[in-house]
Amino acid sequence: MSGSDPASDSGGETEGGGDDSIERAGGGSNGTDGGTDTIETDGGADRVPVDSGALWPGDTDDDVGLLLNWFVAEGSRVTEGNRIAEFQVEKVDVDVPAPATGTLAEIAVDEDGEFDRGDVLAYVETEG
Amino acid sequence: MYEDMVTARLYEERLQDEYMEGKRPGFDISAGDIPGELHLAAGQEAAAVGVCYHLRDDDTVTAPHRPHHVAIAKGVDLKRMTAEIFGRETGLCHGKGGHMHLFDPDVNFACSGIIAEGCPPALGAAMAAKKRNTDSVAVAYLGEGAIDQGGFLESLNMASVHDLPVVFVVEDNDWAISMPKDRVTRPDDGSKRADGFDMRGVRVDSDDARAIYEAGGEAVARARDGNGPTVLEVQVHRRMGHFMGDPETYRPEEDQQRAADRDSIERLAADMREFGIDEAELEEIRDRAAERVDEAVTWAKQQPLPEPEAAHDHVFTNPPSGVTDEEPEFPGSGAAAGGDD
Amino acid sequence: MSTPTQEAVGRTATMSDAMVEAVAHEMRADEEVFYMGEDVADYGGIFDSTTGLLDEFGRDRVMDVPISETAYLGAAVGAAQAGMRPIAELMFVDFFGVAMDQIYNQMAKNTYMSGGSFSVPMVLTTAVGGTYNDAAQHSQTLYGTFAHLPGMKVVVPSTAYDAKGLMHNAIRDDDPVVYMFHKRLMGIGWMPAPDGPKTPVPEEDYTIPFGKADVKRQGDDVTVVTLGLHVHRALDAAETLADEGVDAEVIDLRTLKPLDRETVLESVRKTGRLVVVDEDYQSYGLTGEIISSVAEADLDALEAVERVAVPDVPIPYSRPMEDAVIPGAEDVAEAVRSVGK
Repeated sequence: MSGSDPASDSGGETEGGGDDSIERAGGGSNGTDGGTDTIETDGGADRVPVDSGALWPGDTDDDVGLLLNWFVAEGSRVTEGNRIAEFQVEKVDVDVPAPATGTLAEIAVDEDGEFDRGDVLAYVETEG
Repeated sequence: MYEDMVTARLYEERLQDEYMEGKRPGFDISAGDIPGELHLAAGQEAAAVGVCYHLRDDDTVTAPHRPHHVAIAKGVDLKRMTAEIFGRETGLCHGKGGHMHLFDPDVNFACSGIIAEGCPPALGAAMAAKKRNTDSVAVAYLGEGAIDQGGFLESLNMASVHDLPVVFVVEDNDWAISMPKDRVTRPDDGSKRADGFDMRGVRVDSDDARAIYEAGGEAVARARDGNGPTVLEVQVHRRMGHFMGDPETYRPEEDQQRAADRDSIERLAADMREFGIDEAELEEIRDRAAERVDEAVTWAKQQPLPEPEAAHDHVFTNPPSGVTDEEPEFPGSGAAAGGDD
Repeated sequence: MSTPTQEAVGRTATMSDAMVEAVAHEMRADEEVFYMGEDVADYGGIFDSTTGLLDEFGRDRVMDVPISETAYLGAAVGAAQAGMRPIAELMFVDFFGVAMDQIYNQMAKNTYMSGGSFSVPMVLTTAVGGTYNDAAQHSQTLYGTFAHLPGMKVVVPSTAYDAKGLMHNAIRDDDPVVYMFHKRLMGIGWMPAPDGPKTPVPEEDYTIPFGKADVKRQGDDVTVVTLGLHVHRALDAAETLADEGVDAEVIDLRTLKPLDRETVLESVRKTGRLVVVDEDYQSYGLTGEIISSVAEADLDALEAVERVAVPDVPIPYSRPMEDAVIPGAEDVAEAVRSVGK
């Protein structure tokens, strides 16, 4: 298997995918600390993507994940490092920590949604 | 023997594929054509064939929750067993049992999904053989985790006291689900359990099919000749998770690798080549096994599912009233109506 | 102490998270609390009942044990009588048979037999329930069996919020508590839960008293009494019925011992109609107990009654048959319709 590029359409195949297409750094390979590239939004606040690729379990061949649970709702405050969701790849459950402290601005992959390795799961908005 | 081992391996691999149908990307244990738990025995084939090769249809085998390799080695009807695993009406148990509860009276094969539970019934089969003066034997299969159960230890004592024609085959795959043997069991050699009950214990330290064949032959012959019970522990390897759905995150990479590298089937093939059996012949055996597996799975999938109301059948053998619907009338024997004045 | 309301909480949790959170809290607060069971350490509990506990507390307090239920459940009794507060897990409630003597002839009776001079402050956690085709030896709830035997408090949570509060109460209670968690509600990745059990859960500790049922849905027309998984199936049925103009009240018993008969009676006095839903066998069980409690207390309050439970057959493997015997939301709705409005 190769650390192939993550699919570049953000959440294209999942319901509720983010519709403003956003450039993402391809942090698809395991072990890189991806997921902290910030994107300027017009609100002046930074939008930090929650990058599934950075969280992908190391020893799996599967490139498709299933979002099991969101533990916080859109619009809630989140604290960097705290668990906000979990997904499953090849029978392994993966915890999703908040990449930054702020507000969960948008959930891009809903519960029970399938997504590809490297897809953005959500965006956290930090205070500008 | 080689053919049975190859059949069992191919069977487990095929079931794994069939089981995963409808269970991706989110693994949902209750989805797909084969729902529920599935415990596969890839890597443990030698323990099944090495002993069962010495058995006849009238000998009894009780298997635990990981039974397919033993069932194949014992000669259980592969088609009907597969139909049972697919939950079909024509399965061995009409869809009531599933993969942990396979029963085939034609070859005296039974299972239980609760570990060590097959030991006492094996005693009973051995007892029946002894009382009837037949030379049938009974074999109880269990895993190394199950030797810590009271049911196993009680059975050893009783087998020894009554000198029963029974063999306890302990398949030591080093893991009780996630618990390595050294954390939960003493001594390391499970066959030593026999010493405390004044009976024979043997351990085969590798899953070499020929070595198990030797040891299994000796244990079965002793039982058949009235020379008493044996605990036979065999080192095997679990090539897959405890159950399909087990991510095995607790298991060291090198342990998984070791299991993958040691292949008793390959070893037996190498031995056969040394004995002058050519590759074409081995290939033919493998093809035959593959065809048999494919045929069983194809047949099973064409079988009908049971009707929902069939759930109410088979709770009892006799009607609820027992063997009679009538109570006899003996004049004067009934209780007189009314109390005594 | 006052219990925080769920609504004031910003985060949700699965039922397994909530249980583990309570256990971890109690283990931090009291060194005498420890957890014992099969696959509870590295694996984190087959049904996610101990996820992460090993990392925080180490092997001495989160103990993998041999597959010897008689030994380790009896050991929990002994440790509890010595003043510790063990939590011991029976992996599936179906395995109770190999250790029931320790459970009900010791754990449940020692306080009474000793005339109150001994306490047995332990929690017996165990996974219950079917719906995923695990067949007759791995799918039972056995609620009635445990609730029938005196001396044990019996708890059956249906949501994360309840699970946490009941677990705190169970560990702090000086009596043996059987804590029965339904696998389908835990939020395990490979066994998707319905939407209901994941609820807001306060970060701080709180206790929910035993013997206090929870009205999960208010209604005027009919009283539905249930527990565990079937709380959610009853709530689904209530949604369907609401569209038909029937307003069902859904009562979640939450604990079986002690049993909150008062809340049930109050509701039936309001609605006049009672439907009892249970995932256990029908005869001699929970459904009969609830109905007779109401009938005994206020026969005139009862206009119509119906029960929905598993018929008196073991749980079959194959999907159509399992679906036929385990009540679904539609079965509940049908029973409600049959008692009229």
